[in-house]
Amino acid sequence: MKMTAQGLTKEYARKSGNANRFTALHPLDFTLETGALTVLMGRSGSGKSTLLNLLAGLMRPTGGTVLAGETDLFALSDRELSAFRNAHIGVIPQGQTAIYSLSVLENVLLPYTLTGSAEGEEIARAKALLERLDIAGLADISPADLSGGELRRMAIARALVRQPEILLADEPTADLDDENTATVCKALQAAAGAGAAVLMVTHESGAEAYADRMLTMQGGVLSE
Amino acid sequence: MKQNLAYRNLKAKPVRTAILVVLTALLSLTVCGGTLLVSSLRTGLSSLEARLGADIMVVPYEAKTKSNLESVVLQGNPGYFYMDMSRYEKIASREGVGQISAQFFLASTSSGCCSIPVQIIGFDPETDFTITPWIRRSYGGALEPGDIVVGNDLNAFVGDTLTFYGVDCRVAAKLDKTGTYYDAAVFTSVETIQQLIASSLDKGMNDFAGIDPERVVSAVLINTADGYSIEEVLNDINIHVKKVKAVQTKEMIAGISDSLRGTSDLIGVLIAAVWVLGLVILLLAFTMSVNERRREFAVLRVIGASQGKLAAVVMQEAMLTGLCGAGIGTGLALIGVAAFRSALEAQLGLPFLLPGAGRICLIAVLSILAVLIAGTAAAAVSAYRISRIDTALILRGDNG
Ligand SMILES: Nc1ncnc2c1ncn2[C@@H]1O[C@H](COP(=O)(O)OP(=O)(O)OP(=O)(O)O)[C@@H](O)[C@H]1O
Ligand SMILES: [Mg+2]
Repeated sequence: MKMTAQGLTKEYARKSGNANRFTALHPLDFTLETGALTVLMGRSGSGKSTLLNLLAGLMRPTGGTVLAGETDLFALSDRELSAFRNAHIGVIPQGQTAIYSLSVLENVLLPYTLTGSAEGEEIARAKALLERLDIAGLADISPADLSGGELRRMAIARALVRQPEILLADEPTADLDDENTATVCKALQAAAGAGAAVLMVTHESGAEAYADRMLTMQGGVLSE
Repeated sequence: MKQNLAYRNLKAKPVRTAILVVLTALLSLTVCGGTLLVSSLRTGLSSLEARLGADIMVVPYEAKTKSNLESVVLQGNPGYFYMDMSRYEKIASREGVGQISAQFFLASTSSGCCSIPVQIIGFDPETDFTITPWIRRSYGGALEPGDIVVGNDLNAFVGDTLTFYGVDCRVAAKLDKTGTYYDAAVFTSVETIQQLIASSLDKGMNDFAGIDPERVVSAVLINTADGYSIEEVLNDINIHVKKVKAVQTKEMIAGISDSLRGTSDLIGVLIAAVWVLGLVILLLAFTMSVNERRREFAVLRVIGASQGKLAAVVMQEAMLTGLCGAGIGTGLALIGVAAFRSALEAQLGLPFLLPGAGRICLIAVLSILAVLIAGTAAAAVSAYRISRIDTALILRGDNG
């Protein structure tokens, strides 16, 4: 499922400073192609997370639309948008994202158990993902006992478990060593290979090697 | 595999969960305990009203000062006063008098003559309309000469023999609890009490002011006839019958119902205060517990939880803790009131009678419901507040 943004723009209200509105994203048209890994790079504060969160429907744009396939995300009700995200969009947000009352495996299964239940097939898929990301041994312990890199890989497994048609990853390799960075990039590449539209925001220059398409963000403006 | 997030969240934070349970327990303890107290006082008062069961009570004039009418009639302190039977006949002949019956009081003493010091109340089964209906509930038979009926608090049982002024009396029945001072009294028929009065006179123990013991009356109870007002009949008796004092029974218990109203108002205010405080604390507790996990909730939104789903999780947490807490609190209130009811009764100095089992159940269920609804509403408010914030803003707000 491809994603299309049209005239997408975001302004933030700023509590201090001269201007009380700050344009984090200038109007942009953008398409996230299926079956490809798109890598978005740019300096800190350039607006990368802003774009990714808008594409994920996690905040409302100041202007413009986001289409996921034929679906206009911001025309949906909260309930519809939530259900759509659950079924079609895998998101790996920046920062820590563990639910600490659940075990690592249960965290990974959340996309299923949040709306229904996870049976043998789903559990097997979750375990295979943990295996591939090299944290299979941690399945039954609490996320509180995991290192930053392990937590990140858990979040990636969770975003991949429903095999979403769209995958949005915000600095998924931030806490990882070279070996694990490679593992994660390969996993995202595999998802793209399976037909998903994948966007990865990163500072990692090594990511270029896996990218089907490279984008750069600078001061809220996107360039190829 | 299914996951109950609410349950898992509670289990993961035992201290926070325990605090919420204790808080809801306190809330339901006060509401259930307080309501039980108030309704026990109300039941006690209506029980007392029913016991008096007459519009007007006529007593010898000097009773108001001499033995203190209220002390004997309302508080059941052993005491007596008498007038001649001719007064009764005079009163019965007045216009507007409907039902009328005489009562006879005698106090037993703690000296060798009597088994226990109590107030003995005699009534005439032929005419009585206040005591008989109530005795009927515990005892269907007729009272033979020498038979007595004992109040619930007395340490005597059916078949026991109690001795008053040398006369052996058989306990024919024991009354149900009334919550009034009548629980400590002994009832008997007019024949038996006349025998007791005569016997006490023989022993030189009572002062009858020259009245023939066969012809004494302590009080006359009256219901007015249709078409006559209580005031009318009362004034008529006070003016035309000498040496007696007619009083309205409602007025006699006015003091009690006043202080009862005062007490239940006070309890009401206390309940309200605890509730306001409890609701504020509940709201704070849930807001804190949700705020502390705002990042987790944002992550659930990322995975596809709707605002409604988040609210459901938090409300379910509130429901689970509320059910536990309200169960414990209500249970404690029931046990507490049952265990300390004698102490409460003595402390309050008011008629106190636990309502029936059905009513107690209703009070318990309603208190549990009230606490559940309050807790769930508090949770819903905090969940709603958090789910209105853009998920992306929460996620960037504290990059944990
Ligand atoms: N809620 C907000 N209120 C005000 N300004 C904001 C808000 N969120 C982001 N900004 C501003 O918008 C700009 C873009 O932020 P964004 O998070 O998209 O950057 P980024 O490219 O993801 O940076 P990083 O690489 O550090 O994650 C920044 O200058 C930031 O200060
Ligand atoms: Mg960012």
